Amino acid sequence: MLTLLGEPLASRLFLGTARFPSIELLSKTLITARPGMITVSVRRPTPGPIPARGFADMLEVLAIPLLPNTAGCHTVQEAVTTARLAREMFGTARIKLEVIGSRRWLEPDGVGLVDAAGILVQEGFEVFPYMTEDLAIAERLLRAGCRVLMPWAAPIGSGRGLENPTGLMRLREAFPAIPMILDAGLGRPSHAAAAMELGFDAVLLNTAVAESGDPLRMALAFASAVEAGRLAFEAGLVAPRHAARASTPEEGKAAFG
Amino acid sequence: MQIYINGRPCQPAGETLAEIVEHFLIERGDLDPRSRMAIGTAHNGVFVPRGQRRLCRVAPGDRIEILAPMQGG
Repeated sequence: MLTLLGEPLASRLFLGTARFPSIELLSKTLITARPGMITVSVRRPTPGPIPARGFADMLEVLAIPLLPNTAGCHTVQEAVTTARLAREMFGTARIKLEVIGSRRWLEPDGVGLVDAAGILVQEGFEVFPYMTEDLAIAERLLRAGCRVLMPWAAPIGSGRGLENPTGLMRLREAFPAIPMILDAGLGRPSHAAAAMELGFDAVLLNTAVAESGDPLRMALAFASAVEAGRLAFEAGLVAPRHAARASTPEEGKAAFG
Repeated sequence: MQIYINGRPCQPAGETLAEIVEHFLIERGDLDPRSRMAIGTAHNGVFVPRGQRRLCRVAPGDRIEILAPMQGG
C-alpha cells in the first residue's frame, strides 16, 4: 500500500485519462484497474453543452484521487493560471506541474518549473513537478517546497521506456526519502516493472494503455507489472556479476571420470 | 465593442464576466446548473474565481477563457 503525502492510495499505478476510445471504456478501465491516482486537465469546451459533464460525473462516482495537470503550458504564467483554475474546478490542491520547453520533445523547462513551483507552493498547492532526471533541478524544486518529484522516463507519448536508467537511479539514490513517481514515456509493462525495481514509488502513464488494442487488459497488465516490480524492489535484487556462478553448489558433486 | 472568448472575436453579451459566462452556456444549449460549477474562467490571462465573476467587468479587446474539465495525461 502506498501512502503519498499522508493519503493512502489503492495502487502504485497512476493513469492518465486522455486518448481512450470512449468515456465508457475509460470508465470500465478505471473501475477494473483501480489506479491510485488519475490525471485530468482543463481545456476549452467543444461546441454544444459542456461535454465534460459526463466526464465530471464519472470522476465523482469513481472517487479516485485526482491529479490535474498544466499540460501544454510553456510559460510560468500559463502554468500558474492553469493550476489556479484546476484547483477550483477539481477541488484539489494537487497539481501535476508541466512547464514545457521543447515542443518537439515536450521536454520540461527546468528553470520555468522551479519558478512556477515556488509560486504555487506559496499558494498552498501540492506540486507534483514533471521534470527530467536533473539532480540540480530536483534540489531546487525541493527547496521551493515540493514534497514529491515526478521525473520523466522518456518524452511524453514516445513509449520508449527508461531512456536514462543510470540518471534515474542517481536521482532515486540522491533523495531516498522523497516520494518519486516516474512519469511519461513508458510503453510496456516491463518498463513499469523496471521503474519500480529501481525504487520509484509509483508510475504514471497514459498513452501505452489508452492507445493499446485493449486498454482494459493493458491497464491490468501494467498494474501487475507495477506490483511485481515493487515486490522485487522490497525483496532486494541480487547485484549483477561479470562472470557465471553456478546455482547448484559444486560441493557434493559426484566424480565419474 | 469586441472581446475574445476562447480565442474567438465576439460582441460581449453583458458587462460582467458572470453575464458572459451565463450567455456562453445558454447559447450552447447548456442549462445544467452543474455546468456553472464545473467551468473555470480567466480574464486577460488571470484566473477569476467563481465568486468574483460578477465583479469582473469587461472592456474592449479583453480576452476571456471559459474552460471545462477534460481528460488529460
